[in-house]
Amino acid sequence: MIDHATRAKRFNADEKKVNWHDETLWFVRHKRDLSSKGIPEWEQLRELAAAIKANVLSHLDEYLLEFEKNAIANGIQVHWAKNAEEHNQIVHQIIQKVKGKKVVKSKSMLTEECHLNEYLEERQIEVIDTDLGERIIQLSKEAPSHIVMPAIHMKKEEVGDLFHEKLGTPAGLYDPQLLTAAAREQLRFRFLQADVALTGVNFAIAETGGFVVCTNEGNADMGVHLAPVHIACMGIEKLIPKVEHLGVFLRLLARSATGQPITAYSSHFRTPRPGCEMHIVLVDNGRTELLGRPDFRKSLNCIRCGACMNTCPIYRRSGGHSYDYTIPGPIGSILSPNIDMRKHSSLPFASTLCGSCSDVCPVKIDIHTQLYKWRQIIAKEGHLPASKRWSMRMAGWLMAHPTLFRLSGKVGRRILSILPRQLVYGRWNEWGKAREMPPPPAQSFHDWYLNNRNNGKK
Amino acid sequence: MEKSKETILSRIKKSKPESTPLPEIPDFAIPSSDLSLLFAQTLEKVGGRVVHGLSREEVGSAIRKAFPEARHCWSDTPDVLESNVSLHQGPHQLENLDLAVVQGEIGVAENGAVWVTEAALPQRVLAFITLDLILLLDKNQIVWNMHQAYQKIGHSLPGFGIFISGPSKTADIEQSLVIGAQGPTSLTVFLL
Ligand code: SF4
Repeated sequence: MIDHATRAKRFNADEKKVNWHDETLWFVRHKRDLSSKGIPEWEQLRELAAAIKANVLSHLDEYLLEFEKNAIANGIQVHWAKNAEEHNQIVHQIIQKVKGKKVVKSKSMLTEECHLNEYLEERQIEVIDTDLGERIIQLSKEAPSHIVMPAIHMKKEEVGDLFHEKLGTPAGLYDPQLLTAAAREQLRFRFLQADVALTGVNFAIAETGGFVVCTNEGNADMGVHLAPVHIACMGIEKLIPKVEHLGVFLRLLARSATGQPITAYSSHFRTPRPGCEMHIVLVDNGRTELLGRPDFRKSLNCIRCGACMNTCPIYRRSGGHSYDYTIPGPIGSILSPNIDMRKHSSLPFASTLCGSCSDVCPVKIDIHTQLYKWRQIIAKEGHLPASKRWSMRMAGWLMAHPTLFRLSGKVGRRILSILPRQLVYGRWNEWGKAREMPPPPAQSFHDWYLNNRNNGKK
Repeated sequence: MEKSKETILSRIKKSKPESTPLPEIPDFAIPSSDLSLLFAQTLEKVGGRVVHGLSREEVGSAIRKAFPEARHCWSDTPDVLESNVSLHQGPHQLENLDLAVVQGEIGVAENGAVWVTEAALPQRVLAFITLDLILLLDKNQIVWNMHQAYQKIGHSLPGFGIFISGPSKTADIEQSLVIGAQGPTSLTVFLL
């Protein structure tokens, strides 16, 4: 199995690009800071958001039923899916029933999680992603590398070459303005042709049976107000109790994501257009299992703003694809072990545990604490990589034997200063690969302490 | 999938934490300065334009002056601008719409958003498919924050309602901002 560090190494092959990636995301983090500092009650809003989400989780079954009842009264058809497979089947059946062939889709991490595009394409249904970033990675046949900026791993030259090949733009056209215009023209045509429009859901409101979708491009609205059928797919944790709670979340979401005060469009859907269909698919796919893990259930608070990615020193320098999971970065590293602990066992270790993710998270998920807790579980279940397993076991044994520990320290300090460089920075020294080892101290803390205590006594 | 519904609900019942109360949302402080000025400043920062101080009649000529090339126009306020497109043949007929003039209900100063509902959008797609969008807003309907906006809206949301803050935009190519992604390439708000 390829782990995070190995995939990160691939991303790091292009140093200039890594630096650009790092700086660009840090800039987004900075914009978030400026924006949040403009709101005196920012911390209070985070508290409120976390408290609302806690209440939602503690009454989730009741809110879902309330939501369903109200949605049906609004003329929306509600579907329930235990897992990704059922979700895909339901969506496919709705499309089939209206003899749909062409689907336009706005951004939805849930449909990525369920691999809906592949499922539909295998069944001869054309799916076009309409968010520009998603369209870019759809054309390049990649997964999103960021949940808010799906194509942030690509430079404009790469996008230009891709558009030249796939959309017929002139060779060497790299201007973002012109590339966007080219995509716009092509997508217009797709919107007008679509039989079905698919969207995600940012928030669903139990008391109204409606839901809210946020975009900057207006692509969700272009899709759903033209096509006769709208399918909205949502994880069951996206529910909030009341309309007034939207005030809290919409103030937090865009400011945390990009530093904008709000997205250009925050669309509130409650009833289908006259003569048209509106469907909602409520999806579990591992969420109830997560709800049953008291140490980790808070990760269901996530509103997918991406702030934890932008701030993470590991994410910024390893790129979204190094996580090999739909949701990358710190939040992905605590969501993924719940889905497949063995496959994603290296992700909770892809962190310095600096805690910056928890500090920026608008819904106050204790991300770095959960990373630490997953590490313990992964070790207990025997999913640690061999190198870590042995070094940890050795260290544990050594620390249980104080005399030996002191002796090895003494030997180590001595040896480090006389060994040839090649030996110290050998293949085994992961830490020393891109860094200089600190010079070995003259004495151990133990010796220092004894000396100083004695001095004090004199 | 009726069985899945039962499964999901029973799993939740088994796993959910102990009940915690819903918090009260307090009334947050409101700036004492002129809200319509703050609204204009914020909207301009996100790429919108704000025009104030004109009468309804003057707005009409201002629009014609600003968009001399607009051929297909839609407006629900004939005293401001005459419509020349029909909505009866469905949303696809609006493919070539150049200009839409739409009445907004509430403005939010903290983020430059305008609340628009389907009462003003006989075809929901109007506000998105048009090349340029114009919103009319009563300046006495501007509030400071989103909490106040939702208080005004109340518990019964319309079939479709939207906060619009600026023109359609994207930064998906190298984070460089491009105005006019899939929706309107400009937004002008006239404060009346
Ligand atoms: S975990 Fe928090 S910071 Fe990260 S995406 Fe989710 S809400 Fe945003």
